[in-house]
Amino acid sequence: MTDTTSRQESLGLREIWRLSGMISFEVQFQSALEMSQGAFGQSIEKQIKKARSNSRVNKGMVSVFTLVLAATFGFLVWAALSGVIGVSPDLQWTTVALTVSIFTLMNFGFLVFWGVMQVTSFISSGAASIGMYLPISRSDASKLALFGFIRLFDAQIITIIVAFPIAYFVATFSLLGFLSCLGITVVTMALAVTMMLLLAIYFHSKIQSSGGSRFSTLIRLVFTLFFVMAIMGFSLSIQLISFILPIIEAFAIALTPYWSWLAIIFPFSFGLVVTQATGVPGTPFIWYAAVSFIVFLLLAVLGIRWSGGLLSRIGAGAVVETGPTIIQPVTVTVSRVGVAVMRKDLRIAFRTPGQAIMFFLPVLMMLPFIFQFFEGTGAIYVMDILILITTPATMLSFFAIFFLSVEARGMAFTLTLPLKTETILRSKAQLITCMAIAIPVVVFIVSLLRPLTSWVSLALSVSMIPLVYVAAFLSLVLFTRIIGGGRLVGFEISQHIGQMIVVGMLAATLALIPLGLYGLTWIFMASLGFTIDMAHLGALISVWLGILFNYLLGKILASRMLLD
Amino acid sequence: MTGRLKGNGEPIIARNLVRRFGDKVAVDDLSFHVKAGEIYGLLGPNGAGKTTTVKMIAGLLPPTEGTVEVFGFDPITNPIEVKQRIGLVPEDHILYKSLTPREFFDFVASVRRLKPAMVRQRLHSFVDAFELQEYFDKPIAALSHGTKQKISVISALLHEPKLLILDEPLSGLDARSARVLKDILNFHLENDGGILFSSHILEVAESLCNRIGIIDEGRMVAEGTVKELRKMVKSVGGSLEEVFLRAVQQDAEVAATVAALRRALKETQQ
Repeated sequence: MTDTTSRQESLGLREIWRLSGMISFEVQFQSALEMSQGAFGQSIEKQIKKARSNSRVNKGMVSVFTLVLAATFGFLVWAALSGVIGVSPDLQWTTVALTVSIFTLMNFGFLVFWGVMQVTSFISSGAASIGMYLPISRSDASKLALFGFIRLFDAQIITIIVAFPIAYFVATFSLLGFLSCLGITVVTMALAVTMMLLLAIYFHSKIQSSGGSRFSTLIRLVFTLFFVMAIMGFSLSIQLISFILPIIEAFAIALTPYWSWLAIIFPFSFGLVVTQATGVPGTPFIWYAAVSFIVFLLLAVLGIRWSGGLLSRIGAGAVVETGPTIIQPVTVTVSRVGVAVMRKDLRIAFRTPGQAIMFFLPVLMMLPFIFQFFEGTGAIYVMDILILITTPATMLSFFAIFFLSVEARGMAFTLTLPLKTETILRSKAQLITCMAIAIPVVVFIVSLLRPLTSWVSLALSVSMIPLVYVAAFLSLVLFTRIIGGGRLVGFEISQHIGQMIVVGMLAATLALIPLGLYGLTWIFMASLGFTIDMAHLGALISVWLGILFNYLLGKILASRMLLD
Repeated sequence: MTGRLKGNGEPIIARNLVRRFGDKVAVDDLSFHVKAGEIYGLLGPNGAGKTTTVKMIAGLLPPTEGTVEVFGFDPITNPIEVKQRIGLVPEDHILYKSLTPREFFDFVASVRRLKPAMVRQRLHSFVDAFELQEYFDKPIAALSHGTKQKISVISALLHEPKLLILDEPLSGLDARSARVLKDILNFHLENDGGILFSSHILEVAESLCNRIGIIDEGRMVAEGTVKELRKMVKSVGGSLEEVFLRAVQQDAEVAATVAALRRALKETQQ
């Protein structure tokens, strides 16, 4: 046989940079593929195209978010120093230090939580080791992996490093402040990358490779929660921007006695260093903070050296060690059919972060309202609670059909089992209902912070559980009828988006009917001279009548007309 | 319930099955039956309509025309009755890949309403026989092709079905596991079970199947025992491969293709 290959010289940096784009895209594609399992039967070409555009959109979104955040925190620094928000001169240093510290912590946390998933894919996918199989030098293979890793977060890291120091300079016109701000941002990014890699290796060994002990199940859950926290953090940060100033002011006052030990803790030591470099008068404990910063600087240098070495080894084909396999006894738990379907769906959903986030939807939707409750005083009216619970209840009803796609390709297996379509749909509706449990829980927590004017508020929030169940079941029945003639079939979301929106809106409307009945009954009874309590009670009864109507409608449609 | 349900009639009776996808006819007037205690081999080239036929029998796809009976039940009007009685190993692994085998069998046993004691005993035996213990708690996605195939086979056998529908069941299995599966199939036959065996591996079909149906472009082109098929294509003593190629009228075309490939490879040699 002849040698059909030819020996190549070392690749240039430009060529390595170009090739590394393929590695980072492959990692992003695999993460996206994991998250878009709902796109049942979608062609691989479409998925590649979608992953490519998602990658650009995600990078753009993260950059814009970072810019907005940097500008907001820059404004806060300016506001504290210029006196427009009335911070007393002796509290200026603590406000500035706290603002810088909070921004540093947010960036650190966001980069770690957001990045850990992609880095785990980077380690486990094998995409980074591609250089090992190519006729290139070991050094080039290592660089390929290193650049591939950098390109996963290039937009985010560059934006953070550039945006905040510039925003800080514009706010303070201090060159030293700008340089120190740049310094702490770079060190923070280095620490975040190191932490991200450490966590990714830990998760890789625990999730991808080890046995199914309870511990590894717990770790898997934590891993999913990381992703959810990143999303929630993103959403919360945007919602919180208008609340940040009073929070910082309150914290600045509350934390003043504790700065002697806060000065040595990340990220407060960083905040103090920047505040001192800016020349804000009265900054205390600067030596503590400086020593602490130097320690973190050394840790960052060591971390980056370790990270570089690890990425080089991955590029050269080294396998990240995994935990030992724990062999457990061969037993299974046989449960009721409906419970088994729900448990299976839950397990699948919680291993797909994109789906796991759906379970936190009700809480996410209620957060802005909850913050409003924090601001006010006095008892909360039933009507305020009604507004609080309407959004998650109607949105859960609207999104119910999306849970048909939880199984993704596994749906083909479900169809081989002796399961009635109605059983599967009821189980899915029950799963969606589990999310609605968060609604009364949140209302109960709110009631601990501020009193409620009537017990009906709690009863009303509990009513959202059956309300969501019947609306979800109705929409699942209707959608199954439309796309499968009453039989459950695998489907592609993008091809049925129109039907999904129509059915989703119908379900949301059905969920709104009992809530509308509440308002109408209350007004009607109040106008007849009933006491407020009696009017609320009557209105609550009409909610349950509305739910009962929807329940009967679903039962009739499922058994007589729509399902096989 | 053990899954050993008594049904009437033969395991499979397919009469004049037709399945169209738009203008394309995937299965065209196909008739055959599978008796209790026999392995019926369904052979054919890629795209011949084997998988479509299997899906119609399993109640996953309604026929455009014709009828199927599985133990006397129509898979479309009585899908639950049919699915309770069959064990299906599809060609592509349709499994929940983010679940572990333990979680997957939890689900299968629960949905099939199997008795815990029976599941424990059967699962233990299968897991031991297929050496699956060390993979029992790993995500299915992380397992090899062969291990996924073992999971698929076990899930098809767990409820002790009367009819096994196996689409390339030996694909990816090591020699030991293939031997174990063949023994399981023999045990199944001894207990009067029926088997529909779809495979590309002609040697396996030749050694395992009692009767073979060769389909091409959705139509049955030859049917009978291996002996009968050899007689049918007038090449007594030839291998099943020769019989198969003759039946689907590809023997001359394959010979020409192979000759052209050899010439091309020789020319590129330096």
